[in-house]
Amino acid sequence: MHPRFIIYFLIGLAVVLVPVFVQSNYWIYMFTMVGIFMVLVSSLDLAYGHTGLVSLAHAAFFGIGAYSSAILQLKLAVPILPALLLGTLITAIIAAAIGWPMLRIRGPYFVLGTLAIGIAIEIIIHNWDGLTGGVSLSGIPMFPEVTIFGTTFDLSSKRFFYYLVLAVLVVTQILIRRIVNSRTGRTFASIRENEDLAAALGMNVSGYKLISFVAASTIAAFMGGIYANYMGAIEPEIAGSHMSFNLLVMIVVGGTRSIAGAVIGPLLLWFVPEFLEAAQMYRPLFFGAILIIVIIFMPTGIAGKLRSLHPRMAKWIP
Amino acid sequence: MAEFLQYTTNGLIAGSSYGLLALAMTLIYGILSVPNFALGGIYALGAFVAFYVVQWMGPGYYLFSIVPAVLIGMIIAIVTERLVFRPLYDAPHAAGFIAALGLYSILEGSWAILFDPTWRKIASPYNDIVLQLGPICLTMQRLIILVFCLLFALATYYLVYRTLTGKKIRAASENKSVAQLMGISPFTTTTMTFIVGCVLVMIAGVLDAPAALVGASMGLTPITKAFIVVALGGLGSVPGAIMGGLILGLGENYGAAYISSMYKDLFSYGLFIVVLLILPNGLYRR
Repeated sequence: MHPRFIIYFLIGLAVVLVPVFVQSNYWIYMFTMVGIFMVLVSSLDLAYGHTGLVSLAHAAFFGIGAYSSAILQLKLAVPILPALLLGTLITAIIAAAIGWPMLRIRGPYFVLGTLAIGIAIEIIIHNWDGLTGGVSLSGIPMFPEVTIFGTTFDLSSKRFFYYLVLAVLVVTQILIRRIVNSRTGRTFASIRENEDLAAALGMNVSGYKLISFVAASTIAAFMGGIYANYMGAIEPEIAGSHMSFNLLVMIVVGGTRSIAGAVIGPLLLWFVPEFLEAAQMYRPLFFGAILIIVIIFMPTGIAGKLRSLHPRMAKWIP
Repeated sequence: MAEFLQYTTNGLIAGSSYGLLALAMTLIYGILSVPNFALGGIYALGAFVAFYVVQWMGPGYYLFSIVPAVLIGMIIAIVTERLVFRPLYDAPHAAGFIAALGLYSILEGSWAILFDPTWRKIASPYNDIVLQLGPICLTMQRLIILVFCLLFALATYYLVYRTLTGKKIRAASENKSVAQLMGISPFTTTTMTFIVGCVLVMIAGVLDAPAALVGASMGLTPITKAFIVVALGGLGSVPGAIMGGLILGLGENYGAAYISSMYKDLFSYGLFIVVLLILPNGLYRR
């Protein structure tokens, strides 16, 4: 077997065994949050990295997914699983309704438009308190205990969520690889590289942009639904432009169109500030500095930089 | 009717301040094709300058704080342009935009550390003087905002359309390589534009400070709205920025007065999205 795959296997094994060795719930929580960010960053990569859509509304769809699933459970007493799927479907429809007109706008106007939509959605969630609970929506039910073959699994435990998020991450990555390596994915790439040329060659540019945008939003919405049940309480800030900005930072720092990039970005930007003393105070400073340094010296992100160091490295970094 | 006039005045005052920020943004956008989000941090610095001038020298010196604000604005323009934007001169525009977001983050973080992060009020002497102009009622401070914003907007208009520097700026924003062939240095012009932009934003910060709360993150909402104004008016267009500012200010105040004040901020973003969908290139096509 190739040494590369042995290394990958060991990394995978370590990731699976984290809850066995890490006893503290705090650290399990931290790893789970990083996993959630990795899913969001991977899905944003589909729109940003692969199709070239700089979206500042990505977190908005995460938020809509979280809120619609939670509201279905709280107000209509829908069970968790159908609520999660229905919430994701609702978000996909909203994303399509927003994306359909928005994606006709190009370049910087599109970026500003998504920024406006992200802020508008946060304001709506914040002010529509009859439905969304205003500043915070709490009391979202936990996952139940399930008994299979006489063994009881507590699905509300932190450890279970760790594996759940890991599973979602793996499925997301496989899904994105499948899309990217298909005919659709090649169309995305051609739109990213030259939109006018793609249109001139007969590609339905706005249709494929919509597919990319809705697919990315749907993954984020599904993660949002799980997040709502994991946290038990959600705030409008999770849908805000600040969150979208952080996602964009993570992907730019990690590197686009790369599994390693979608892992490195959230790891670095979630954990390093955690180790800084007086973290809260210095976090924006750190975020901004990393962002500028990376964008000036590593325009393709950390993963892209590592790949370009040596031809052999390019094979090692997925 | 009296109410309507009052809302119109409020709208014009808010709009003139948006317009000043948008003017700075549109000039820099014209030359770099980068929406410079970092101006939000510089705006907050302007407000802090006013705060410390008033604290150390007394409220009577409030308007004097424009002088140090202008000087600091020039320095910060040169430093940020050199360190952050010039290395990205040939990079794709998305890189410049993301770097600008990063710079904003650095500025906001620095102000929170340098000046403690609580929100505070400025004791401007003009805040307490209430003027009654027919049916309209407004404080002296708001009149100062209106008058100074229009004054500086006119000065900028003069600079851009009536001076040699302005001609260079317009030439470089029209076509950088042709401008370079005509002997116009793109770097000097970019620095000049940055200086004009940052100075305008610092002045806007000084003017708005007494009417708002001063804090490290105070620039975020105004600069986001300035973005929207710039896109409303057409990115890179100078008259578009001023018109867009006034339209947004009026639209926001009418919306808040006649529809719902809770969703005041939503109107600006909604208005923007609607305009964007109808006119994807803004009101003024450049």
